[in-house]
Amino acid sequence: MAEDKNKKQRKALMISIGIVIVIILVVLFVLLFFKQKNSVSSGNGQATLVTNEIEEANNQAELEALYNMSEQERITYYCAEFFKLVDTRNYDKAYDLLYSEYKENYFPTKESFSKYMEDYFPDDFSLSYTNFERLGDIYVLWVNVNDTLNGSRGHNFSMNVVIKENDFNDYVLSFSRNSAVDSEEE
Amino acid sequence: MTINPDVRIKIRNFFKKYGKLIIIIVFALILVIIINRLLTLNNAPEAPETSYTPHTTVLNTEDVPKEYADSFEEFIENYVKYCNNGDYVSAYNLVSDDCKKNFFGNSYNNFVNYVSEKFNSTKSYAIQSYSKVDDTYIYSVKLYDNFLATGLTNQSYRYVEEKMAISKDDGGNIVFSVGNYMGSQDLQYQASNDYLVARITKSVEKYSFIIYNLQFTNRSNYTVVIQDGNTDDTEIYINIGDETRGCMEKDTKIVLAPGETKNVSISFSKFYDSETKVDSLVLNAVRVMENYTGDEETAQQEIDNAIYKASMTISMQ
Repeated sequence: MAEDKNKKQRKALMISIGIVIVIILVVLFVLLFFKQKNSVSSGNGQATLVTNEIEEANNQAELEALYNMSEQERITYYCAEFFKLVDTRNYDKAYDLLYSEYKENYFPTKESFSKYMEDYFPDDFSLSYTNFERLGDIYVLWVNVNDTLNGSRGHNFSMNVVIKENDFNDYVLSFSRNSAVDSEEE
Repeated sequence: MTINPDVRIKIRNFFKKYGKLIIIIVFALILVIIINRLLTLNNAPEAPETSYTPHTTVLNTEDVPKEYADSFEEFIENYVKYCNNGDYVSAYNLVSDDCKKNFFGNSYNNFVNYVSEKFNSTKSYAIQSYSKVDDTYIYSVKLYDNFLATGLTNQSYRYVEEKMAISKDDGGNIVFSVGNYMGSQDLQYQASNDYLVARITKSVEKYSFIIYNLQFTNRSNYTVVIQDGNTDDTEIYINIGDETRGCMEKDTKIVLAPGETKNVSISFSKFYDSETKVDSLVLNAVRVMENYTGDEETAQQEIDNAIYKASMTISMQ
């Protein structure tokens, strides 16, 4: 009789564990369902939405990376990102990152900026940093621009880059315009 | 659809027996989901962490209290703004009476000369709480050209730094001084002998040095020499803590004709926020001479023939 009772209790326990597992699975399924629903769309907007999703995911990943960087790492990252845009001839995007007063002073139009970059920057270059200073809320970097295609015979020069960070991945900058020009004319 | 009564009883019994356990498990699950969600949401820091902490005091552990920090920053910002805009009257009005009197000699023109030299172009600024002495906060203020607007094109990285002292008086009004001026004090210290009376009448403190106003009176019918650079010894110095510091105006000749009274300002290196106090001022080579020419070539002979040679200490304790 007692054995029967134990058997029944064990069976009931198994059933309850089963129910809990089912509940967990249901919850996970619901979560998964909603997550998938966000990335699935129908009709003509699908491609755009997917692109936006990818872009958003990339931005989020970039932000996540920035959260874990030190102050100096973030600033040099911004500098590198700007010159990556220049290196890939994405001048419009690079131009938008320039400080407004600096643009007025040296590059009043996007075309003047593009022309300057085409005329005075090497076709392919890398950066190295020699100094980093913070002055209040601005940062000054001393940067060597190295002509990677032509090496020491190419157009190598040093310049200053000034950066102000407003928020994560939100910054404006300027650079010593004549550094590339002077070294080209020498 | 009817459920088998047997199954129904089993289910009822099951929930009777394990109902609490199930509730606890479900609750725990929900809790885990909520916590996980919250942790994911709070992953993003509010703002980028930077080393620019203007109200964190560099030399002391005492930071500027929040209720002071904003008003101090706004005050300094206004001062810089007025100076940049050439509104020197408004800028001058922000400066304390003490600073106006003892640093600018109560002269608005002196202030304008001082400011126009510093603000020769539109300046940006960065402030940093530097130290605290009594109730006065000393800020290091760096003034520099708008580097963002130029990108340092045809410019070198350079800034001008000065200390500004700021505090609140009993009425809650801000007391503000510029130009490294920290404060001044009327003093009455004196030492004398048969030939000379030496008085310290005032001290004016800049951030990195202290100026003493001295009054010397020659009581004799001879020439009294206090400093002329013709001895190998340091002729005037202060005792401060365990060390001595010579005066900064080593080339200033202090020579008193018979019966003459002379007022002289002499400065010594001393940081305002240093806790070491000045113990005494020493006139280390007072010479009383019958014949004094000041000529370097005959100086040693004249010193050898001096009527009186001694060191005189003016205690400041």
